[in-house]
Amino acid sequence: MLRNILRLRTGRWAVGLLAFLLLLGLFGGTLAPYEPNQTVGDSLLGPSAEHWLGTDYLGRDVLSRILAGSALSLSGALFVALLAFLFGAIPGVLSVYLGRTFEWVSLRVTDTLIALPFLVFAVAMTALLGNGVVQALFAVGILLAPVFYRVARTATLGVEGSQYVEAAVLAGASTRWVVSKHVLVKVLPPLAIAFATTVGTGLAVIASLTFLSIGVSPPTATWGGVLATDLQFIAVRPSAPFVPVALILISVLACNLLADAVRDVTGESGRQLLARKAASSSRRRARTATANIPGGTHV
Amino acid sequence: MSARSSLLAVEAIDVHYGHRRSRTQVLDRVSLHVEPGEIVGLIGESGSGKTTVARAILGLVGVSSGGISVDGEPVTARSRAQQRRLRRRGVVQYVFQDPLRSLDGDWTVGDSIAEPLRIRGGLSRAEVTERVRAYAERSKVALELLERYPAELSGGQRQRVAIARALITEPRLLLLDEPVSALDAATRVRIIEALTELRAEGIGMLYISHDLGSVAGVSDRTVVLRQGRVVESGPTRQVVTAPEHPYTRLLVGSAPLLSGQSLTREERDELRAALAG
Amino acid sequence: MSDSVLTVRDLEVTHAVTGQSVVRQVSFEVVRGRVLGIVGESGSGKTVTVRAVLGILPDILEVTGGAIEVLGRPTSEFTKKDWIACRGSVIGAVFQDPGSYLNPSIRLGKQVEEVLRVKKGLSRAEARAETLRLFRAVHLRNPELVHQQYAHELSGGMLQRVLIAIAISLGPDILIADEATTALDVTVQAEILDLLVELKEAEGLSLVVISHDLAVVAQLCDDVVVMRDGEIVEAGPARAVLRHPQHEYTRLLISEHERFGLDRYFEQDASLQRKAAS
Repeated sequence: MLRNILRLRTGRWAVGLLAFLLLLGLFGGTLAPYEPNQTVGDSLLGPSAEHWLGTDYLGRDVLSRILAGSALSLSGALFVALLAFLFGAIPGVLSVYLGRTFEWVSLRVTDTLIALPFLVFAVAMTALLGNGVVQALFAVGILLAPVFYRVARTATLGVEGSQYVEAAVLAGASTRWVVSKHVLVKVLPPLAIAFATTVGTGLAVIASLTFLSIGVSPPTATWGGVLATDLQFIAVRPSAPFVPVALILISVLACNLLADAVRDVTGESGRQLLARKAASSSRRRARTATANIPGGTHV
Repeated sequence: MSARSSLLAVEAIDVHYGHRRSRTQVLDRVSLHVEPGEIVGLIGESGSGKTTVARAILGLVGVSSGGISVDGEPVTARSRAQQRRLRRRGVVQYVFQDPLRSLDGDWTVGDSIAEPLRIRGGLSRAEVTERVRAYAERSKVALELLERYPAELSGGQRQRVAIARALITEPRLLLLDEPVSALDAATRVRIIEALTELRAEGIGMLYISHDLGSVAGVSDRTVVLRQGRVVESGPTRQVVTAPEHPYTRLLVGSAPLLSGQSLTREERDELRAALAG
Repeated sequence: MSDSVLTVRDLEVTHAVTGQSVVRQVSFEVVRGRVLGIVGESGSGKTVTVRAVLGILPDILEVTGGAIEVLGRPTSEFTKKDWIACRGSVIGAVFQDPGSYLNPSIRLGKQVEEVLRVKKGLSRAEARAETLRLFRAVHLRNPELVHQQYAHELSGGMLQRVLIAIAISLGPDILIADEATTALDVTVQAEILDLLVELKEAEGLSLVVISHDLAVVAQLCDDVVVMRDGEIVEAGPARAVLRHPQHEYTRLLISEHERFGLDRYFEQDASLQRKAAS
């Protein structure tokens, strides 16, 4: 699948950006020129050769804080998406098979989660479980689960109603066979898309929570946290929010591009698209070949 | 003919849909039988219940009374596990009208043909591959097509694949639901010829169609279904040339013929009036 | 002299992108009061031909050769206004899926009245009376009720009757039925075909019946055109084509009916009767 994704322009962009983000997450901390949580200069300095992105109100180096915060920001987003996937996708598929009671309960829980105001829920969760990173991520993960639930359930229902599943059932297939051989293949691509989108959403949401100082406690650096302090002093350093915002946007963009690429290369339509691409590129090759022959004509 | 000796015996089945107040009767004491090496046409227009008959035989809808047996073994009122075991034996196979929908588009054609064997289990990978090749050849599916996907095949090739998949469990009874209506003339003829070859091998078939004209030439006997009831059944020749029930007369008289219709417009109008009244 | 209402000569339709011709060398003539049948399977070019005649080809297809004449006027000279005047009042048409040609949220009666008021300039009351007359003409059992109903409340056969009512509402010279009975039950198909013949006689229409089924065409038509892969493989009076088919493809279509269709019984019976008589 990766090879097919790389054959698309969107796929190449997505993979490139994600590789960049991965490096940032892995080596950001060690690359940081200064200690992220220590005052290393005057407060609220503008960009200079010493401090590329300036310093914040406590005199900490902003570039270092952004680099050091990459790991937590990105892994937090990934964790949120994983949680949402587990709490959403699995009940979503099972809701079709586990009988009416489970179906009814899971649907009502999902409706409730959708109806809950996001921030209020997050605040309530942290009030209940204590204000910590894990608790906050948990809250966000659960709140994003309905997306996966709905995608998984809709896709499963579609497959379950199809004639090829009926044909398998008529050959004596068990539910396990139907789910593992027919349903999962069809449900995973849309779930992958939802996953990529959710990583992006998760990143933005964690940023906004840090902004409200929920979850990550003050000295720890995250993109959201840096953005929050930058925004407080926007009058002094108007260009400061640019870099954290750009990073968050790039991550969201990369995830969405990946989601697009996954959608384009999976399933029947994906096969057709790839076949068309292969055909057109071989045609193009053939055409350039004829064009290179002197007097060659286009057919 | 006693019910026991029949390959398929449907005995006075009633089928209802819905619950309590919305409960409606779809089939009303429907009986029919199919013997080995025989094609029986089940003719009914929309709303006649012909598809429900097939679904009842396959155990996909329950019957409220009456019984269905295949090879003398009752197929109604079984537990899910029993039903699964029966289906894995593959004595009865169903061929859908539109193979593009009845084959999983993400599976290669070869995998689709093999699926019933894999579900049944007990064969090695090599044995399954060998049987898939054998049955593909028998249904005239070119071996190089086995690696392709359904969307890359023509309608006729797809229907051959569907038939190969049905035959791989060595069924004794085939239920065919308008198997050729989506095909062009040349392919239609070849598929029907393939069916007559299967008949010669002793496979019994229930050929379900809305169009008497498309089945009459191959079916040995014909059962006419109208509004959930069997209105006429008998040898096809007799049903076609000497229909007794006014609905059968209208059905025969409505079918377009090369040699000109067997009824005049006025005769049809009379029959319609009689049936409406 | 034959009174030709529609002439198609050497029609060629080409796909604008691929440059391939979809229809080649197609010629036929529709004579007043007669029925022409066009037989062909999907991809034979029969529907493209009809769309070219109606001037409703999709953008990627264009007429690149030949001529179409409606009542003696070549359609290549038609302006947009001419086409609008021509469709409905000279040529009416009904297609396979009647439901998709009707607005689901407007009462059926209104939709027919609209045509009459816009195109014929009838008053509200006149249009209503004419609509009910048309509904009776196409044998809708309860015209007043149908007038008040919506498309989803009627069966396919009844919807096709409504569309036929619309198609003949402006008194066209030609009525084209493109696979108009394909989606219907056999008994309903016979009703609609009976209706077409009746309308032909009552209103003096010329019919063009397009079908994939040779038998439908055979029992209805005076002349037959057999199409395959964008070309006419055989044409002539229906009787001659059926009795002495020249082309292999026509023979295949006929033999299918004789071997596997109802004709198998009736042909044999007819020959038995002939034997008994002699």
